[in-house]
Amino acid sequence: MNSTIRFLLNGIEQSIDDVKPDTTLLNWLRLDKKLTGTKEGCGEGDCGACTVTVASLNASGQITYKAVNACILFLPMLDGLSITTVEGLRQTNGDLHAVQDAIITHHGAQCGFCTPGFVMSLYAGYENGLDDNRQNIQQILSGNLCRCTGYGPLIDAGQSAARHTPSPDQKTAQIARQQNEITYLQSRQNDTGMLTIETTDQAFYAPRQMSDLETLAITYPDATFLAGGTDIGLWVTKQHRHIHRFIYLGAVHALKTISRDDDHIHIGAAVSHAEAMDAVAEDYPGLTEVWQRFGSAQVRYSGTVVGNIANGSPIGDMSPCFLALGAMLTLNHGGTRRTLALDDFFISYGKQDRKSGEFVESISLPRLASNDICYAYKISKRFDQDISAVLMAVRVRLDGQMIANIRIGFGGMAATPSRGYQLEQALKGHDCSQPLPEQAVAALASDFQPISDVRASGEYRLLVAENLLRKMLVELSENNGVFRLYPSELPASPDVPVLAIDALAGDHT
Amino acid sequence: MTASTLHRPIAHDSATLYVTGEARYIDDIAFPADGLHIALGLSDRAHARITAIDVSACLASQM
Repeated sequence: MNSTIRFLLNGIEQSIDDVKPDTTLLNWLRLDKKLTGTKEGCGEGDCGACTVTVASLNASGQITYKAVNACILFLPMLDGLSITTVEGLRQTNGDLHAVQDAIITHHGAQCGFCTPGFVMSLYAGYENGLDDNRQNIQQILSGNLCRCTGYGPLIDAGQSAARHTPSPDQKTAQIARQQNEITYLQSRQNDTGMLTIETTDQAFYAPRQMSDLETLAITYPDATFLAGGTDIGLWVTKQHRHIHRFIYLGAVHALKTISRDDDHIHIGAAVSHAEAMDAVAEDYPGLTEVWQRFGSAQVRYSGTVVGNIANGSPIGDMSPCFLALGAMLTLNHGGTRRTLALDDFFISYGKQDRKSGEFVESISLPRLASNDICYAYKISKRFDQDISAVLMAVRVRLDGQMIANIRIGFGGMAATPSRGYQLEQALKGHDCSQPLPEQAVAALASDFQPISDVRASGEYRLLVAENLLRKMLVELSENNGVFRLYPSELPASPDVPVLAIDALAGDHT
Repeated sequence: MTASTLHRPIAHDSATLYVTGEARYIDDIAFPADGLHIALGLSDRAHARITAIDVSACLASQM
């Protein structure tokens, strides 16, 4: 047992005792270390002003840098890692880092408050090997909000930094800094003790072995399982909830793995969205856009795939995708495992099929057959970092042009992520080159009666879902080599939404 | 004759402070021990003559 949190901060090891386990990295940096370069903007992982980098070794032993939001990371989660803040970028001779120079040269700072966050996001990208593609820079900066300079100069700065050839001095400094981090990370890699922090009214456990996790989960059935903290962080910073007991999953070696067999890809409960997205991008090209628009770079680096499912949010973007794929969950109760179709996990709003003392160990995604096609569509007000009004994901098996089998998952349409069972039945046997059948429209309305809230009205959600089905048919028939002139198919009835069809037709004339 | 500065980009005065995190904002200044707090008491009339200010409730709240 070990009660001291130790990590590298700007190259120097810190040992921290006597700290409340829900102390955020941001508060510790600003209030204890007086390192005020890292800013607090929103305090909920949206604005990116608090971005720092966390370095760790990947499966092949290489150092990788992740840009993360310090405002929703709890200090004990950082044990064994290497943190860099904006104060740590200057070389010992006082020279600036390439990304800092680039922001100055390209006039990427006006009021300057968001700047340290932008610097750190670009720094993570730069150290990982930055691609100068504009879209790539936009992705890297998707979790940083700027309200006065504007993104143009900041993206220019990112592209310029990516094209920058480091001077021999800069190269030497970079190698020395990384080598120091690698040495430290290697020295901590085989730690065995379980980090345990117990204060008068709070406890935090970070087991490394699965057996320890199983025991803890049974012993403390009221504990809160913590993985990436992108949701639980807000319980603390925004709802001021007092969490009595944390069981942290991020240090359990066996939960950090992605493995494959003939039928499935298994993703462990501590695997982040960024890691999973990279590993399975080629298996499910249809999910790429949704995954790239999931939260922001920082959220994808911290948040876990399984966490997004286990907390049962009705608007979590990955759940409908995995419902469409036909994913299975593996739940672990004291070492006894059971598998469950994801469909059966979501019982009602906020309620999942998870017994006391049980935890979700992994999710298994079925591998697609050659005649399987998978699409996912996200409708939200902003491209990046927005909660979906509607998310629709489909997995279709085609037999020629006929829909032989189809699974459709929706988010934002009901109190839990849900499949449209009647809709699926109505579409089976349909020729995908033909317009959306009326019985499918009726089935959709029978499956779902979405609510109105700040994101969208119920009517809008239903209409969007209907139009997404039309879009899916267009894409399916294209995929199948069938090309059509859509305007000729416009229905005569003015009640039918023609705008979406018109817009699609524009792409094909 | 020196070259004109017209039409030439000049870096922001505080740019280096910004990119290094050295620029200080109000929230970056440590709160002094025994520092006083200020709260504004606003009038509920948009256009009126102030004839008296009653601060007795404020004074009564002092520790």
